[in-house]
Amino acid sequence: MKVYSKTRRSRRKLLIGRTSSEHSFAAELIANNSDLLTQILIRVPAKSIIRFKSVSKRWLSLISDSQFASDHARRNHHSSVSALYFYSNRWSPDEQLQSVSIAGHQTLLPTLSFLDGVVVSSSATTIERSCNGLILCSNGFRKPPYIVCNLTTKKFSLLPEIGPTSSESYRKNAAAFLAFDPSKSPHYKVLLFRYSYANNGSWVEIEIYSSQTSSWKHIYVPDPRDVPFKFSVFWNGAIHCISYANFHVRFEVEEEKLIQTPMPRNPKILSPDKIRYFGECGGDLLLIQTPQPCAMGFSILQMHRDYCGWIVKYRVNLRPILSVFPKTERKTIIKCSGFKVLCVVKGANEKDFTLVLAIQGKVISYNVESKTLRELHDLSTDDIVYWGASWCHTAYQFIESLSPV
Amino acid sequence: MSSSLEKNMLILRSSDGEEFIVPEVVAVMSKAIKNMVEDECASNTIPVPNVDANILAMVIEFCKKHDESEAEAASDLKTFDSEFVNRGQEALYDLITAANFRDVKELLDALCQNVAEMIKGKSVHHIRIQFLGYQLFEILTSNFIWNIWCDRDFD
Repeated sequence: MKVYSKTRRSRRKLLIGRTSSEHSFAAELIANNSDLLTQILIRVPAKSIIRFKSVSKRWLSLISDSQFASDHARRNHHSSVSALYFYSNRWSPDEQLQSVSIAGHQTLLPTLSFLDGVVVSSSATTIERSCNGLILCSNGFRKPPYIVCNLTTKKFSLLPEIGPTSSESYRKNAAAFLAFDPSKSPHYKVLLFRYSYANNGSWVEIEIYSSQTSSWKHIYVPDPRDVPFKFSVFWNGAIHCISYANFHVRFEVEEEKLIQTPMPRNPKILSPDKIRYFGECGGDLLLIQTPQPCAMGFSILQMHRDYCGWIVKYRVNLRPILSVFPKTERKTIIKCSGFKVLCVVKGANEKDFTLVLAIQGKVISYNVESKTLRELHDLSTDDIVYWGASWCHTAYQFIESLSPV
Repeated sequence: MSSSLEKNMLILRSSDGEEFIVPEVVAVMSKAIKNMVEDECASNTIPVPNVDANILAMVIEFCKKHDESEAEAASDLKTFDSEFVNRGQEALYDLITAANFRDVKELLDALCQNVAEMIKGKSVHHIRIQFLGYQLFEILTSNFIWNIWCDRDFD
């Protein structure tokens, strides 16, 4: 006990000593000037800003201001992905939300527990999409089931009733998307897509929720019949589809138009089970596909800015990652286990990519340039015999952001 | 004195009376000075109150570099900026006050960025010491309830 109080006292002394040298009146003057303080805080990353709420009442009110939050999100829209959320054993009774920090830190990542008490059963809430710092969740006990949350600030918004235009089945079968780009607008949209047949034609019916007007809107566009497609990714103001024909299909969210662009035959787009990654990375749309389940080499394709084709960006050799597995397992991995690219993170340099891979119960981050790898997560101690490609189906990106919802 | 000056030169006088002769293009990087020049309410000597010679010299150095290097590579300018703002805290905060008061946008941007980088990893306690004179604050107000509230975990 005595020892404890002694250390306390000496620590206190140290702090007082620090005060006289580090505290500056010029700094205090700046802290008292709201304009200047805003100018500084707007440049501080979201993670630190959340901590700084407890500096003083003034800092708290400044940081909690929604205008500040929007400005901060617009300024820091290029923030990088700091963690990934994914479900292990999706579609099975013991599916669990897992999270890994990309930098490999053992930090505690936020969970969905802040929704406890808000919805009937928060354990029934699942993440559907993530988009530039916001996530779209759904909870089957709600009508409509959708909730938009910000995991950093733990704020959420329960979306209102869709309205009489849509049937019950509509709400259940729809594919939901979140469209949000803080660099363009502080508002987000939620889009629900469904295919329907009426009047001898097939249509894509879309319900659009806008956070600006807090209301739903119903539109439908003719379905381009000979182009099979599946909506997948929000990027560059549009929802993009992976299409097996030589067409690229996208739905422009602002213009509310479905646009088809012819694509060259090469490279050929493979069937969905051969697609390892289709998503955004550092402002570009990337595609990774391999004909075999666990090809040890593949290319990273990048969509041309004007949608006229895919460019080969980088050829990856995956062999170095085998070193994290025991020798006895390596053969099985090459032969029969599938892998999935959870996320691609772009570094400072043009060709500096880091792939986050899910392979045989492990999550590994692999830098293709320096060929360095790091094991981020290991579930292989669990009693799961078969690690099919579906054990870790989709990953949701966690980007720290102050964006208001 | 003003007659001996070239036409596009201005004299800036710091709060402690020192005078600096600078080209007008450089001086008008400060919006406050630009307004004065445009309104023609300034003679050739422009007083810069609240900014001492030491700080004013630094501000002028920054503006000169930015004026000269408009054609230069942006990356060069970035290195200059990061080296320029990398100085002692006292000078840094004085510079911010000066840049804000004289409305020199580029300088203010670079300085605020630097402070943001500096404080982002700091603890709340450290921030309070630095920006609020926390010890003094704590003793004077003995507002312990607020402190308990502040120390609760926001994560």
